[in-house]
Amino acid sequence: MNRADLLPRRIDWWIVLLAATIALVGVAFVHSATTGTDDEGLARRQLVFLAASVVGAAVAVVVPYARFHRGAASLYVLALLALVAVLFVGAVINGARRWIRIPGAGFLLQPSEFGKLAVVLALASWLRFRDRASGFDGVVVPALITAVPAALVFVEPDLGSSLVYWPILFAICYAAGAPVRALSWLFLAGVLVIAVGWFTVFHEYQRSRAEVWASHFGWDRTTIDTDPAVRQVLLDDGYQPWQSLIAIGSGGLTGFGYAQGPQNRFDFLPYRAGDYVFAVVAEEFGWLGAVGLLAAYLALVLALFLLAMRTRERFGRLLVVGVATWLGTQAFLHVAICAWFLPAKGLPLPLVSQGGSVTLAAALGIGLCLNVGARREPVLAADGFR
Amino acid sequence: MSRSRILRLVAIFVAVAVALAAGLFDIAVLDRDEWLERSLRNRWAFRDVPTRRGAIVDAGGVPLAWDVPGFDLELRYATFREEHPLAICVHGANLAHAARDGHERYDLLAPERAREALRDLLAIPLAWLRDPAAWPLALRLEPPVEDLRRELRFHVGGAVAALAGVSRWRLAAALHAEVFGEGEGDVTAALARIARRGDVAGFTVVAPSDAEARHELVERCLAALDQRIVELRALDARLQRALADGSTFELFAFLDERRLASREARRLASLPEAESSALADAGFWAWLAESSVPWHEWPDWRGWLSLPQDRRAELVRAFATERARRIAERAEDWFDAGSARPALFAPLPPDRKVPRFEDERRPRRVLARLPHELAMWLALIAERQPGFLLRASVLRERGRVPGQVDLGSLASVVGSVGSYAPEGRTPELDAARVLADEADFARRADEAAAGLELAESVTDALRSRAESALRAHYGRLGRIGRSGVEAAYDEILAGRPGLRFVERDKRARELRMFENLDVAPGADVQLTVDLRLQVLAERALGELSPEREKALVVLDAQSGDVLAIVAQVWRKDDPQPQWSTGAWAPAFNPYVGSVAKPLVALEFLAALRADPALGAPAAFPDCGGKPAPYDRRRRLRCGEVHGAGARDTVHAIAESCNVYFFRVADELGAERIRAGFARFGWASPGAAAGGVDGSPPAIDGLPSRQWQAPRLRPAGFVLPMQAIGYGVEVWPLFVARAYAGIATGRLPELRIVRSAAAGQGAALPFDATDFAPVRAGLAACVETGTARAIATSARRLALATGLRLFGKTGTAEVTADGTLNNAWFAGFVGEGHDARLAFAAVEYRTDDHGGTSAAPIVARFLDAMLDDPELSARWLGGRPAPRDGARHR
Repeated sequence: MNRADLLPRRIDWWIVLLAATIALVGVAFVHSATTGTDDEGLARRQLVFLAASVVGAAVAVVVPYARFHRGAASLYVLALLALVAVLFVGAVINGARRWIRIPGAGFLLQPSEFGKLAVVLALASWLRFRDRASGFDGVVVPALITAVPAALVFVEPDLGSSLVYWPILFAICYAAGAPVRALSWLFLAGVLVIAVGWFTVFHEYQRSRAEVWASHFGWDRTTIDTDPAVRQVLLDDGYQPWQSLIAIGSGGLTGFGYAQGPQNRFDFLPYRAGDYVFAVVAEEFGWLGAVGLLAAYLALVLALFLLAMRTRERFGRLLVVGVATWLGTQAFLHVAICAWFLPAKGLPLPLVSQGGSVTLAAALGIGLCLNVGARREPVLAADGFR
Repeated sequence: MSRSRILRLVAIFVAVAVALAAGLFDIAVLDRDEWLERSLRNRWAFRDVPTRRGAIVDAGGVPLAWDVPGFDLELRYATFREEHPLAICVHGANLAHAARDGHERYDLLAPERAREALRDLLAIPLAWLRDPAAWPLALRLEPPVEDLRRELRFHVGGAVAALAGVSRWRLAAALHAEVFGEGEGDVTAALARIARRGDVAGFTVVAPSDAEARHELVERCLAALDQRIVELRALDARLQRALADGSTFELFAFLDERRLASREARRLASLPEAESSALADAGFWAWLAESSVPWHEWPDWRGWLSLPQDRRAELVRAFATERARRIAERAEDWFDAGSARPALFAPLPPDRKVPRFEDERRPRRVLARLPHELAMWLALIAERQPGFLLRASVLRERGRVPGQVDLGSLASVVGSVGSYAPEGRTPELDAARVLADEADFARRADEAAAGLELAESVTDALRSRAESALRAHYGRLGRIGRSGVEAAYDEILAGRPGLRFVERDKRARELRMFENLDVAPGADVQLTVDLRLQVLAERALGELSPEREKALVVLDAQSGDVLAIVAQVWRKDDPQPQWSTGAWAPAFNPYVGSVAKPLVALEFLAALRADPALGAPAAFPDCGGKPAPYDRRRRLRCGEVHGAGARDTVHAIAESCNVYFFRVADELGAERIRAGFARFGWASPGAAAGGVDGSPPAIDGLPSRQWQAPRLRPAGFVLPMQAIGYGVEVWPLFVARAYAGIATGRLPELRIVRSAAAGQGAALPFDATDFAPVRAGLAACVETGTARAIATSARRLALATGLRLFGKTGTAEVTADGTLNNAWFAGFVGEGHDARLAFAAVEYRTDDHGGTSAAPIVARFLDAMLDDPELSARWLGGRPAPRDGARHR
């Protein structure tokens, strides 16, 4: 019996089941969100992406993950090159330059999604031998590893995706044993950078969205109905999150039913196959459906964390922690943005939102995690013997 | 690396997930009703459908007032300025110029200048769209500078997108990327780069180089703008041709007026704090310190605020001028600097978002009653003229013949309609109508909501929206009867507007209909007035001494139907007499004089029959024509010497002998005279003798306030004078009614609308022996008596129809010196079952007498009737009579 024969038995099928369920739910809701619109057919396209992602995940499972460890630096550099390239040759869509057109392929590649995976690999690889490292090795270098691609993503501009990088950094460093104090300083530095950036590099529309978000907590029903300034905002910067809130709120406990959500059907909800797909879920299946999807994500994240806890090999463990944090953070941010708990940002829901890059990147990440779980790599770090 | 750290991460994720679930629960479950209501607001709409108001027609079915469905052209200026390239260019360039040197440069009066505006927009440096510091006069901008850059990007992208026919949002996004991607050059350069790269579908250029691409882009935009201007001019020309009445309409002046209103609407009141902040930001205080302005005039900020407004404005203007000069010196090669004339300082509160053209969202009517052909053309070109709306409407037409809008003397009878106004002249009527309609709509909304199992709060909101839709409907198309039959029969005429309760998508396309409240058109109302008789009455009135105030009323003696009702008023400063309501409403003292005598005679004859003790006419003194003392203060007399005629009822009526009626008054007493008038509706039966009001108006279907009741005001007149009509204020309508009673023995109920239930009238308590001498006197009055001037007409009538003409003249002195009279003539055609018409004519304040001024009015009217075979047959039942000359031969 060779190693390949054992692999299927060692795979954590719960993770596969959860991911597959979430992905199929995603296809269903992309279909619901695009039926009868100019984007009809995106669900079929998403199925194709999903199939490609399954293949990619399978490759990620089969290839021994030690090779990813060895290639982490190369992958990271490759991702950086792609992120730099997108600034020069990227296609502009909705005012942002986030995609590289693949000639002849008929689709666009979003490097920032793969950049997250590359950062996870790079951080896990860097911190593999740095138990309880603080200072330069344990915090500063990982921060730089994260900051470079995050900055490039920010410049695109894609503030939402650039924000996802930072929880990954903190989670991996924390899991790697970085002192909380060092991480606190890092956090404070991050806050300072954001504060400075607010006045210097943040775009006007980004500030405006944040201002609208902050002000919306002070609106009451009368203000919304009578204040012309507020009504104007709701037609302008506040339009997307407001319509998303209406979709979520009007769904009630059980929702309007599949493909019956009025905000979805009547085109009031923008970008509903991508950045606001969770609002479609909530509108059509209500709070129960929304929480169900949220629970599925939580279960997936918990399963990944459990896998990390079971993994004694340090690179693999950090890799799984990074992927779990990435998927969990992005999913929860997406939900929070849809419910306007956070300012409006364009952030897809991994495995659910329409899009090849985000699906493939998430599938690759999960595939790598399954790879880690399925293998019994020799524990090379001292930490593994504790 | 401990597992506990991973567990802590797990705990964080679980906590976040729980928090998110709780937050979602708050939104989706606890606040569900509110969000559901907002979802409904998005997609549910009430669409009103105008109804047709019923027509008012005459007795022969000729329409007098009717509705014509049509189309109105309206303009929603906010849409026009946001989507029409002409407006975008003008507003955008003005915004830029105002920000630069304080004044606007373009208007919509000369649309060709929009080419320059477009060139200005395309020449804006990208840095200006990126960097607030690049703005020269940013301190006084409307909107504030942080909104300004967005506004300008909106205008630049919108103009080019509209001209190129591409998605404005995609182009704006691409332009946004250029602006914040540190693109160099001006807007044209950025657009050329976008076009050459093909970032926006459909927005491309074929030129190989940047310079050529710029040129191609500008030329294409200008050509497209020229085309849009040509199209707008074509619209202007079509509208001009549509003005059939010779009036003119300046479309571009209208647009520019709205432009100014739109701009003004955005000018919010400045706040002192904002002024302070803006001035500080702009370096005003520093400038003030360095300048020669004597700023010791104020010690601190409060002192500044205490300065007169003019002084503050003067200082700020000086500052702005200096600032503009400095900026102009270092200005980039952009616009021609021109004369920097700073506008008044009007900063906005810095923390406020500027509502974009908020006040101009409401559509305003451009032209009403568009010809059908033009309306269809507009519908076809609607996409090319954003902001212009074609709206279905209805218009109330009035007239007697096609093309003639004047209703003449019937205008006050038909009345008028007015727009719905809660504060209108008849609030109680409006409120009743609106409440009734709202209740209906609300019921429909409730029904729809019940079918969808909505919460009560949501149905309340739904009801509110239905009511709002109704109010909007009445605000736009609502018409309500304000006077005359239009008001009295408003419930019947108005009908009910339709309402569609629909579900729509974001683009306002109706996808589903919940309820359709059908339009209920108003019912027609038919007047008893015969338009042709009305015209004859008008002519009869107008042909004789037109400078007098007079009236003529003709009734169907049997039914009380008003067949013609005409009154005219003449004022010294107006060469033409005007139609008035003098036939039924008071203009001044309307004493009836001797036309009251037959009523008194009937009462006396009936009293005499019942009470032989009363003094009979045979015992009355002769009429000597001399004044006789009545009491210590007064002397009464008859104007003529009637001799023994004063002892004969027939003669007394025919010759209008006052002495006879003085004696009758003495015999009857005040109470019985008043009772006699009351039997004919000239007084209230139960009223006290001292101040007797008239009986309530009894004109079926008409509001009482428009019809003045007859009344007795005996104060100042001794009893005998009351018996000859002094102190008796009655209008022609009620005089004619009383004579209809004398003709038929039954006092008819007046009716001016045929659909109203016809009443039987009230039988008068007189028998044939009472009526006979009175009617004989009335016939003699026409043939040989005081109205003998129209004996010829009476004879012609008798020849033509076999009907006798009965009448009584009256001449009531209405001035103390006796120089001016109310000259009356009232009577009827035929008697008993053969009675056909009753009439009353009056000439107010004339120096003439009833027999020579009022009676000829009736004669002319009857002659004209007899000349018309159809009218004659319809109302007199006879054949056309030969003219006077033929008869004499």
